[in-house]
Amino acid sequence: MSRHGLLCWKTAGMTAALAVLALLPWSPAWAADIKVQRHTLDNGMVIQVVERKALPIISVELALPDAGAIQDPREQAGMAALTARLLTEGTATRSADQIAEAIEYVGASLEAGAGPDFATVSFTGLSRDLSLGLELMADVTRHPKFAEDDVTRIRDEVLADIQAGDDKPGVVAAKAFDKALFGAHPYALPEEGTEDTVPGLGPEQLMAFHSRYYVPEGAVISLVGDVSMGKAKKLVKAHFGGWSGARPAPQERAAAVPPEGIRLITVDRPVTQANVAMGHLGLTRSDPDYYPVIVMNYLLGGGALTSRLGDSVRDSQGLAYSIYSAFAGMGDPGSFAVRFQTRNESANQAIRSVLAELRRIREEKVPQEELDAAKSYLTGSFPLRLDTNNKTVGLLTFIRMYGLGDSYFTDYLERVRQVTARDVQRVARQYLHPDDMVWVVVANQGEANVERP
Amino acid sequence: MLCNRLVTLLISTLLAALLLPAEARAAKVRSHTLENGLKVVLVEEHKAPVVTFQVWYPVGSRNEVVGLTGLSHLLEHLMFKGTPTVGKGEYARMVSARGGSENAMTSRDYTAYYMTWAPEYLPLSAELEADRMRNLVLDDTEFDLERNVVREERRMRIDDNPIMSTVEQMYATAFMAHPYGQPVIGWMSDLEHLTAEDARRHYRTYYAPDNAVVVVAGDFDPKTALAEVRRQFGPIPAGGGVRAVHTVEPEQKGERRLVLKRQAQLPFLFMGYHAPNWQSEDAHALVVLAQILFEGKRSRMYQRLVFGDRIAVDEGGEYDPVTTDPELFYIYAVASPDADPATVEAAIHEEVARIQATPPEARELERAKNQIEAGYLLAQDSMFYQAMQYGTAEATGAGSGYVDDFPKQVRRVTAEDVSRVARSWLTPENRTVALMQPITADEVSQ
Repeated sequence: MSRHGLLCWKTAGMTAALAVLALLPWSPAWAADIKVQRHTLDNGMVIQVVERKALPIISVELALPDAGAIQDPREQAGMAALTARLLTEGTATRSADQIAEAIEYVGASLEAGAGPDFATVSFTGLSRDLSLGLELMADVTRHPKFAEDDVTRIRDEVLADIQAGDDKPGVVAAKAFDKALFGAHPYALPEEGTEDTVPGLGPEQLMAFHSRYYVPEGAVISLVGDVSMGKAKKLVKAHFGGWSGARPAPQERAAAVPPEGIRLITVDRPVTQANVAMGHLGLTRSDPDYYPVIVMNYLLGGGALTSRLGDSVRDSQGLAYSIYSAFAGMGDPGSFAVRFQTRNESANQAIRSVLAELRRIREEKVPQEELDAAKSYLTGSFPLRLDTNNKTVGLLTFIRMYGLGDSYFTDYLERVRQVTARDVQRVARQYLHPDDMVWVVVANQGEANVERP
Repeated sequence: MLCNRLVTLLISTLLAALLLPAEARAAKVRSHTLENGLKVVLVEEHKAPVVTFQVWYPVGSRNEVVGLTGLSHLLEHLMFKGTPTVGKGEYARMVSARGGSENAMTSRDYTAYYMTWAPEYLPLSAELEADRMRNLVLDDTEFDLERNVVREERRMRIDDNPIMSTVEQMYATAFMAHPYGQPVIGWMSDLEHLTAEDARRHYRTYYAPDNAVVVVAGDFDPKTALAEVRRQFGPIPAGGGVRAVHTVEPEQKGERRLVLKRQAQLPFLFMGYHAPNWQSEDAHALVVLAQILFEGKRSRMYQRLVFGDRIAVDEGGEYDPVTTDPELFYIYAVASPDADPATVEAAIHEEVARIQATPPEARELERAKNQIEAGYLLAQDSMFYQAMQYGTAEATGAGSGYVDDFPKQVRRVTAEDVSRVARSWLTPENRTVALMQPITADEVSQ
C-alpha cells in the first residue's frame, strides 16, 4: 500500500502507459534501430543484451519457459508459483536472511515468480553490483533448498493471500470467470492455487517440479542497462555455464470448451457495486490474427478513454469509472473479457450497453478516421512499452517466451499498419461472440437482479 | 557457506562507500518565474527525444471545506470536458492519436495534469494546457454525468474496499481540525450535492498562473521551451489570490482508537503518528527510520511480524515529508488468519520501543542509506517520475532544492538521530490506531 493509493486518478488501469520514455528515440521507426545482441551458451541458455549507458543501473531477467502454472496438475494447482516463491527463501549455501541481506545491502532487488506460461527470476540494481546479482540469481535458480520450515512459512502466507483475495470483488469475479471459461484447461485455476490444493504442496513435490522444469535448455536471460555483451557473456557463463539439463517433453492438455449461450454466474456479496466480467475464449499470442484483433479491441474497449465502451458506458451514461476489454494473448488460447464495475442497480443497463457495442463492431464497418487514430496510437505508443530498463527486459522475455521472433520490433509496427477496416470487421465477427459468453456478476444480487437476454 | 558469506560481505562493504557517483542526477534543472507568477521548472535530459509536460496546481482536498469535499478531484475530471476550441474527450483523442499518454491526478495537496509524447508536441502541450487553465467550459449536464462517474470511483476505491475504508477513517480520526482528515475523493453525501457552480467557483479561484507550476522534463532546448511556455501562458492574467489554509492541527494529547466492522477475511491494523514535513530538521532522519522499519525482508517489521513471529501476512508503513502541512508517519499490518490483532499491535509497539531505546547498528544504518541512494538513482530510469518528484516538491513548497539535496541530507543522518526522532514522534500520545475487525455475512445482515 503506497501513498499513491491515496491519490485519485482520472482513469484506472492505465499504469502501464503512465511512465515516460527514458532512453529510446520516440519515432516508431526507433524499433528497427533497437539493438538486441544475442548469444547461446553450450547448455542451451540464450543471452540477450540491450546496452543503455546513460545511467549506472541494470535490469536482468531470467525466464524459464516450462516452469509456469500451466504445468500444474489440477490437484496441485499453485505448485509452479510456490516453487518460484521459495527460490529466494534459501539455497544449499545461503539462508533466506543471507540472500535478503546481500541484495538489500546494495539497494538492489531480487525476485522470482511464476505466471501462467513461464517463470522468471529478476534482478534490478546498480550496474556495479551485476556480478553479485548474477551470482545470487544463479544460486537461487540452481540450488534452492525447499527446507520444510521455509515451505510451511511461505505456504501459510500464500493461503492467507488467497483468503484475503476474497475481500476484493474484482479478484473474486476474475477467479470465477477463469474457472467457468477454461473448464478442464489449467488456465481455469488461479496461478497461486486454491485453499484446497496449496496445503498439499510439500518440499518433495516442489523439489521434483524444480528439477524437472528449471533447466538451462530454452532458458533466456536478458540484460538491459549499463553493460556490454562481452561482460554479460563472461559473467553469465561464470555463474550459469555449469548448469545442465534438457527441456521436458511437452504435455498433452485438456482443451477449454467454448461456452454456448449465456452462462450466468452470480456471487452474492454485500457490496455497493456489481463487478462484472463478460467474455469467452480468445486466441494465442502467436496467432497471425493477433494484430487485427488488438486494433479491433483498441477501438472496442482497449483504449480506456477513447474506446467505444468508454464513450458509451462512462462518458455518455456515467455508469462506471473503469471499463475496458482485453484479449489475453498467451501460450494456449486465452480469454476475451469486458470488465467493469457499476452500482448494483445499473448492472443490467451497463450489460446491455456492452452487448450493443459488441454487436455494432461486428455489424458495421469502422469509419476510416477511427481506425487510423487507433493504429497511430498503437504504433506511436510502442516506445512507451520500452521506456524503462525493467519494461524492456520484460518485453525481451515476452518475445522469446511466445516465439515472436527476432524481427518483432519491426513486425509489430508493420502488421498494425496493414490492418484495414475489413480486417477489423472480419476479426470482430470471428472473435467476438455476444450470444455465447460467460457472464460473472459479483454483486448484491437482490439489488443487481441481472437478467439474461 | 561461511566463506561465501564473508566474500559477499567484503564486496558489499567496499562498494558501499562509493555507491553514488559525484553527480547524483544526470539532468540539468532550471527554474523561472513569469511576470504573471507562473513558475516553470525545466528538467533537461537528452537521453531520448521525448517530453513530458506537466501542470501542477497546489489545490487538493486540503483546500476543501465541510460540505464540499471531493471538489478538487471532481474538477480534475471536468478539466477533460473541453473549452470553446477543444471538444469533450478531445485531449485523450489528440494525445493518443499522436502516440502519447495523458492523465491527471489529485492528492490532498495538489492537482496535476500531464501529457507525454514526442518533443515536437511541446508547443501543443503548452497551448492545450494554457487554454484549459483559462477557458474551461463547465456544462451542467456534463457535470452531472461526471459526478456519477466519481461516485462509482468512490464505491470501487473506498466503499467496497475494507482496507481503504479503514485508511479513510483513521485519517478522519487523526485530524480533527486540519482538512487532511477529509478524503481526497470526498464523502459520498458531499458528492451527491456538489453543483456545477461549486466547480466553476473552485476553477476560477485556483486555476491561475500564480497558483501553478509547469514542469517540463526530457529532450528539449530550454530557451525554446521557456519561450513557448511564455507565449502560451504569459498573456493569462494573475488570479485574485488564494485564501491560505491556516488551520493547524492541535497537538494530540492522547491515543485515539477506532474499530471498523466489515465483512472481510483478515483483520487490518492501521496506525498513524502525527509527524513533521520537509520543514523540519527531523525529516530526513524520519525517512531513514521508515526505511529501517519497513523496507525489504531485512526490515524490522518484516523480520518480526512476518518472518519471526509469523503473526502478519503483510506489513509496512511510510513517511513522506513532501507534503504542504505536517501529515502522518503510518504503520500497517494484515494479521495472519489465526493471529490475534492485539498481539500484532503489541509486537509493532515493541519494535518501535526497541529502536527508540537503542540506535541501529552501523551496518543496518548503512543498508538503509544504500537502499535510499540506489532507489534515488534507479528512479531516474523514468523521466516521468523525475518530473513528478519536482512537481510534488514545488506544489508542496519543499522546492526543487529539496529533491536535489535529498541524498546528501540522508547521508548525514546518524544512528542516534534515528533513535531520537523515533522517541520524539512515535509516542503513544501522538498516535491513532484503527482496527478493521472482520465480521461474517450473517452479522452483516443483522
